[in-house]
This record gives sequence, structure tokens and C-alpha cells, in this order.
Amino acid sequence: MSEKTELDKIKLDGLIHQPARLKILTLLYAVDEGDVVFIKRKTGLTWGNISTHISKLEDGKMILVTKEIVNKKMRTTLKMTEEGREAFEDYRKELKKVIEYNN
Amino acid sequence: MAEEQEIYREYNQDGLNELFIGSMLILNAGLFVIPLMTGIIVLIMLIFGVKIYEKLKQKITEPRLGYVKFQTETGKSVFFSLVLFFSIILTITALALIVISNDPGETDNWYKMAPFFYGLVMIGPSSELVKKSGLKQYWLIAAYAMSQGAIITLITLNNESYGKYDGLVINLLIMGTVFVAVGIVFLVKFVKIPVMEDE
Repeated sequence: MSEKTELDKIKLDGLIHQPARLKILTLLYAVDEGDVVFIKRKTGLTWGNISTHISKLEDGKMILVTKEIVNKKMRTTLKMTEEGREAFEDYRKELKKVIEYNN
Repeated sequence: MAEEQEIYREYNQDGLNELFIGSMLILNAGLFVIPLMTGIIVLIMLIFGVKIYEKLKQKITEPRLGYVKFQTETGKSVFFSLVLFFSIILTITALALIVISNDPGETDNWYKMAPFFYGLVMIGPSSELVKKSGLKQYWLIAAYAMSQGAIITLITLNNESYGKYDGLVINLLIMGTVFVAVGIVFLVKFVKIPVMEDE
């Protein structure tokens, strides 16, 4: 049986480790909460893409999604959960290990 | 954090903060000129000001940039920082009064130090803006407020032809007008940004 290398020990969360979801979480980590218009503007993703990834992140308990009517328009607000923040911080630490591995 | 600072900078382009602060400064000046009428307006602003500001953000900023709520610091550390900050600037103001006034014991001279004090107060918002946005240019607000406050205090302090509130009113009116003017310029530029399509 082969011994585990340092690289094997690095665990990147699959839910976060996807370009679109990583962009969404990076933005939500920087603020308290933001709506999907903000996410769309900053990521350049399509509404369909945003909707798909939001559902996945919500299912994974990374974010909370609330819908409300503001100025006669629907506002979908996204907020990172405490669990999501911790997972994202862990992910960043693991990613740092990957970057430092070859240095 | 760089990302947070970048987002903060984007949301500060709308000029609403400057308009709001400028209006409050002008209204504060008005309190010394027409106390009752301005008092009512200030009271209304204190009660409904945040609501009005939020409504304007919803109408002007959010359709263009989307809705964002920033993380806020609360708790004991903020309270103690404020107490420490005001203790320091009150001490500096008192020392300045003793040094530059012909009669530090005269209470009118304490009122005449208000523009100088207001100038120092602006170090607080400036440093907060620098921290949140990462833009060192925000120190210019403190530099401007301190210079103007010091100049007005020096002009009025040992001159009996000025009433005890005159310097303060002039200072608030000039600073308020500057803020409102800057706010209008920012707002006019900001509304040119196209509104985003709905979800």
C-alpha cells in the first residue's frame, strides 16, 4: 500500500471547486449579502447558469436564498451561511497548499 | 480585503453619501439660524433619513449595480474606539484653544473652536473610507475639513465682531455645499450607467 503524499492530503471541496461557483462564493464572502443582479454583473454568468449554481450551493447549505418584492420587483438575495464561510475559508487554506506545493 | 474594497468603491460612486452628508451639514447650520423650522426638518431626517437613503439606493443604485449589504463592525471595540477618538480630538481642541486664544476662559471662544473641532472629527470618516475602499484619496476629505476648520477658527476666534456661532455656521454651510456639489457631480455621472436587465 502506497504512503499518502502531502498532495494527497489536500482536500479541495468539490462544491466550491468549480469556476462559476467559486466566483459566486468569492463575491458573497466579501459582503454580508447581495442579490443575483450583483452576482450577474460581477461574474458575467447567464441567468440560467446563476440559477443552476445557486441551487447547488443552497442544497449544499453554503448559502441562504431569500426572495422578496422590492419596488414592485422580485429581489433574490443570497447570503453565505456560517457553514459556508467556514467551508470557503478551509477551501482557501487548501488551495494555498496547492499553490505552495510546487514552490 | 481587495474584493470587498473593490465592491465598496463601486457602490460609493453614486454620490448619495455625499449628498446625504452635505444636506445634514447644511441643515445643522440652519439649526443656528432658524432653529424651530430647521429643528423639525432635522428631526424628520433623523427619523426617516435612513429610510429615504435606502429608498434612493433602491431607485438609483440597485438597478445599475444590484443590491449589496456590506459587513458592519459592531460591539464594544467600535464604542471604545469612538470614545478614544473623541477624547483625543477634544484634548487637541482644548490645547489649541489655550495656545491660540487671547482668552481661553471665555466660553464664547469654546464655541468658536467648533470649526477646528469639526475638521478633526472628519479624520474619523476619512480613515473609515480609506479602510473600506482602499483609496488613500479619501484622506483629502480630512485634509480639506481640517484646513477649512482651522482657517475659520483663526479668523473668528480673537475677533469680537463674530458671534459665537458664526464660524460654525459658515464652516457647516461651506462644507455642506461642497459635499452636495460633489454628490451631484457623482450622481450625474452615475445615472449614465445603464440599468441592468431583470432576473
